[in-house]
Amino acid sequence: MRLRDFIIRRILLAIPVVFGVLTITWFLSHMVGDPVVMYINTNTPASAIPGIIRSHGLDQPPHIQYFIYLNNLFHGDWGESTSMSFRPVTEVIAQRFPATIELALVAMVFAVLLGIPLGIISATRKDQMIDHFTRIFSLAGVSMPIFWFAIMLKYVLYYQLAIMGLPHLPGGYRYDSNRFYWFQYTTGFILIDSLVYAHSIPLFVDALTHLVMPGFCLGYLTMAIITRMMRSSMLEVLREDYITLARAKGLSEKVVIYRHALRNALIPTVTVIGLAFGGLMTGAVLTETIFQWHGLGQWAVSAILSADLAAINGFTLLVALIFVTANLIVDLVYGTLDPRIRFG
Amino acid sequence: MTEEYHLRSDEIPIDPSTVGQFRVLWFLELVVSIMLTILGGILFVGDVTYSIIERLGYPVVPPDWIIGKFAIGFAIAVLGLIAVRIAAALENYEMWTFSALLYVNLISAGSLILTELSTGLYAAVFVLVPVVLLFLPGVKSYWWETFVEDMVPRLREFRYSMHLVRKSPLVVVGIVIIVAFVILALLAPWVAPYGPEERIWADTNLPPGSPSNVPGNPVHYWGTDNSGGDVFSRILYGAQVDLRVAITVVIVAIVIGTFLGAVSGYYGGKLDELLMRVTDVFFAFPGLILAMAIVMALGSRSLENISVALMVTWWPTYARLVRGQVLLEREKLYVEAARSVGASDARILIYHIIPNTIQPIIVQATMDTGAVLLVAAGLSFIGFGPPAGIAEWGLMIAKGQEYFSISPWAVFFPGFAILLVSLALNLVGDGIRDILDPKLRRR
Repeated sequence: MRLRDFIIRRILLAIPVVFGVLTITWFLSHMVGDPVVMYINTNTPASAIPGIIRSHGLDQPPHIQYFIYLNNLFHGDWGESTSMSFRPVTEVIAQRFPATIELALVAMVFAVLLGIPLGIISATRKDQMIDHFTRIFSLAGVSMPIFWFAIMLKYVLYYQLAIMGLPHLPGGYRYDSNRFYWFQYTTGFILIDSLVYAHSIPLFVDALTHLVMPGFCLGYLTMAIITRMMRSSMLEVLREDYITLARAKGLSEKVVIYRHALRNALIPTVTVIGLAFGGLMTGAVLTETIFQWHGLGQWAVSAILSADLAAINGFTLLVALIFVTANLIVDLVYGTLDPRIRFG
Repeated sequence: MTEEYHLRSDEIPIDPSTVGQFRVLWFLELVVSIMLTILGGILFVGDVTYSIIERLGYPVVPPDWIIGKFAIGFAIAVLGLIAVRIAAALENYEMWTFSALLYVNLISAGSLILTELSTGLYAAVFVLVPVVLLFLPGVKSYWWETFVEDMVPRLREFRYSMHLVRKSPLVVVGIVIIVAFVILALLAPWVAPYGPEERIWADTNLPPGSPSNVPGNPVHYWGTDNSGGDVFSRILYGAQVDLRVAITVVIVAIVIGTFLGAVSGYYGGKLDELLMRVTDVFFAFPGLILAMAIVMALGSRSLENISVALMVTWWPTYARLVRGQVLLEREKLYVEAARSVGASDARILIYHIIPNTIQPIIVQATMDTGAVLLVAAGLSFIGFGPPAGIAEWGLMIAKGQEYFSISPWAVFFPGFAILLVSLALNLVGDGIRDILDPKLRRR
């Protein structure tokens, strides 16, 4: 009962936020370019343009246009993406969304699998050599220009290894389209498609190797954030009385840390993981551009550079929705991890 | 033994023979304040008007000296208005007017120099005249002693902080890196062997440390890029550009964020509710995308527009931070004490609450300068920055990337510079968080 009320209230609170994002982007994007471009192409005769302007209400004052946009939005018409040969924005999103989510998930797996153990090690061996090393490693992650890191990774792991004739990681794209020319996406998640629909283990392996570099590159920042959070919350928990008690009982250090301390130390980390998802979407913009990853981020950059208004609006709305949802999920997970928290 | 009441110097009645000096000081400060307000106003209003007219599509060519000066103009105008208030209050010989005059005029002189105008330079010298007048014997005897007395505990705290800084090696390393970069950036015209946009066509794609093919030219320490630009020199000049962007963005974000956060935290109510919803919206935006859209909406891809876009995206962080701090401080006893002696809301906020929220702001600002540096370089990397050829780190990486199999050093060094500066700022921010934290500050 309480949980349901909490979810409903959170969704009601999220509505003005999403609405605000929508409004700001709409007005911003209409300063970027002329909206007529959304509906015409090079084959449109000049005489047809006034008719198009009138039929889409573009001769109306801005606020009326805005309401027309909202109306279309709620009817599932997000406009057409000019930079994607006038395909509907919703279709482009449906096609590219899996690519970005797949990359973000892999990045998150890297970040969590490396970040949490590093944080624990760093906290339990505070002020030792390994702690200093981990701290600098994670600070470097926070201060790393992701686009430069991507290029450098590519240079070493792809270009240099390839020159030396050694096995190397692929430098871009989602799979080797020369080898697997027959492949067609079904769900859009290549790791799923390759196994479930294409029944091809080599393709799966190939896709996995394509994911390693961009995934790690994108995940490094998140990993750094998780490591720092994990370290500080672990240190805080280890100072608590119940930890002293557990040690006094004669429990081994392993049990104290992994059974008693970890659960409480994880709580703030989970929040950070949830919030970092928004950061991953931003990082994806740069990573996808460098690794020719045909995802949402790459689309967003080309959309802004070519004044593709509908695409800008669509992408921003989508990211805002993801962000709001991630926040909601974080709050719910928070409640299960920490029973002391009452929703209300 | 009874404690004798020690008269502070500002409680001593004015010596009639020195009133003349005070009148001169008052008059000059009044002139200075009016001058600052007008000068800042011209820069701010002029730049904004020109860009609006340009945006509307009229062919105007703004004079060179006004382009991109709106932020610094705004700052100077605000300082001018504060100076007007100081000049008006000088007549009452209140202690705060003297120290405030000292600070405000020094900051104004600095901002005037930052405008890079020759008028600005003359004005800066003029603004410093009242500061010199403060040290006339008659005026000085009135405020100096109390000022020093007030400064002693602060100085002691500052010395203690310096002591803690010296004890943490990582902070020292960070400070050394930052100071080195700032000095190198300032001295670039003298240190750099080549000019920022100089192209030696005979020297394309030379590896680091190789001599120039043109006889008599200096060695290319860090190699050359595909169009014969000296990487080392371009990085030094790029430091000027990138550091200035990062610092201005953070300062403007702090000013806007502190003002809005403090006001909304202090008064609460509808205004607060509205501001928090607005910041929610900004936090739900993908920051990079918002900045890109703003750059495009502003009309042209340039560093100035990147700065504006980042200012717009960054102020909510500070609004949130300051608001939270103000909510905590508002309930404390010293605020109530100030209120009970009749201090105005503005006075309580500016003189009592905001100084107590400054520490988290400093920590956040240090780390954010690194973050802004990354985002600004990222924006110019994907093509939202200045036109090709300008020495800017992000752009250098973008251009070098096209030839990175031939001259990888043209990509490596600029990126490494970004990493180094940003890492240094994070090290310092991380370290001073612990140093400034009163809970961890044991004596």
